[in-house]
Amino acid sequence: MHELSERLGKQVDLRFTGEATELDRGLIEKISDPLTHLVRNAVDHGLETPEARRAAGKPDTGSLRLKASQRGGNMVIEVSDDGRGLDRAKILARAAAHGIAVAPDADDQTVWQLIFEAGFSTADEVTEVSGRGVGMDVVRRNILALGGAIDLQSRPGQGTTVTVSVPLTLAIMEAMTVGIGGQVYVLPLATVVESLSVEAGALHALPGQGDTLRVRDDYLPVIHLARVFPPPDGTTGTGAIAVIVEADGTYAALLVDELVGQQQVVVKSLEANFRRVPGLSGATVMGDGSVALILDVSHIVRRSGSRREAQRQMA
Amino acid sequence: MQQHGYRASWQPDQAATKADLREFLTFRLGAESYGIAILKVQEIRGYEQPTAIANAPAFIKGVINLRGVIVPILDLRVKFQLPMAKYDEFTVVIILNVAARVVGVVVDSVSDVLSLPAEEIRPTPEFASTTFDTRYITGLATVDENLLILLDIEKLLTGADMALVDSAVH
Repeated sequence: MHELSERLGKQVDLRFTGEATELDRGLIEKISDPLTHLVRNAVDHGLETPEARRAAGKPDTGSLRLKASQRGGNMVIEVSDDGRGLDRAKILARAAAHGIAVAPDADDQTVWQLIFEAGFSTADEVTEVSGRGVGMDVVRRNILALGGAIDLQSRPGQGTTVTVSVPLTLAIMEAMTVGIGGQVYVLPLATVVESLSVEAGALHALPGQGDTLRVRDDYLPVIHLARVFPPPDGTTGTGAIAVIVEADGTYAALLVDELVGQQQVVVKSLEANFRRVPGLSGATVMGDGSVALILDVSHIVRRSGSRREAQRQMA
Repeated sequence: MQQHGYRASWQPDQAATKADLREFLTFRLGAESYGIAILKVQEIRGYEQPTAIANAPAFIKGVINLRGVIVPILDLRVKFQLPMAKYDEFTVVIILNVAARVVGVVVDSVSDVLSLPAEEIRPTPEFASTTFDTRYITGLATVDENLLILLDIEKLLTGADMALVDSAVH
């Protein structure tokens, strides 16, 4: 940290609050990299040089705050600086260069979300853009993979705050249980946007593309879970319910037979005694002692090849 | 696992006890009796319906909850391509500790625990390709005029074709 600020010729006053907040050890290991990244970004891109700060009428020493607190079952970590903030015009220009369509009058939140886009910000591009996007897509993906969320607030000239919230423990997860061909599977509730019943005729087959489902004004790619995970009894499932999920910024409709319920589940490893199974992130023991498998939604959506990005209006 | 070619004889086990007596749990798969080193065995349970894992090979029946631990269940009868792998009240699961994992294997029935002196264990004849590699057989023994096939269960379960462990263990 000190090394970093010296190298960049910036003076930083780093303050921690809420150090006493306790966290699952496994989570600490997983969250330390993204957090380091955020801190480096704040110093590198957020805080100005002492000269620039003086010119802007701010004290020479930039302020960087790391604040941890507990909110419900979540750990909330804020990384805030009083630097120059995100540069809206440059982000929009960068988005245009990347072919991402954004209305010029989009609100700030929408614009800030752009820096989380994959490929939006490789190092050389964004450092010069003065944005803080070095690998923000990676940071976001890591946080989402932990079942967490990341949010960003920024005001030009006043600084930027990145808020990361992650569940206090990786072992317990809010989950939706669904039935596919007589088997029960678990979906992390954090990935579920909504669920709806599929009306007859609501599915449309695109030539050579698989099915699509209209949800209000959007056409979402459809993933028949009974085809991805064929039931052992050879049935094909009814696919009567569509669960709309969001993973890595992509929306998709997962077809299941029924919604079983919503509950907290204790996540157990499949790998401990078995192996990694593509499409599954683990297993859990249900109330009756049986094992239910936890779906790796982002893997399923990714592997289905049915990416549909820039669906932000749904959120 | 790479050792091909001529096998002189069985390989001595580190579990060899006094007077070179080795203890085996014997069980039946189809018409044959098999023996595995007793030290690999954690417990024996009745068969319960596991949760199937889609797209897994047929001999992987799924996973069960063994006192809060997720344990994969393999059916050796399917693996050995034995006919009539039925599941009834006599179907038994042997829970094994192999390669730092807990794994359950389904067998037709568990027979006995017996001690065999090392000199009674005969080398395995070499065959051309069979349903499974003879290198998983550590030797043959005759017990009460019946053949007992001694398996290296650890090697068998961790073999590449079992899809049990990740090929790239990290």
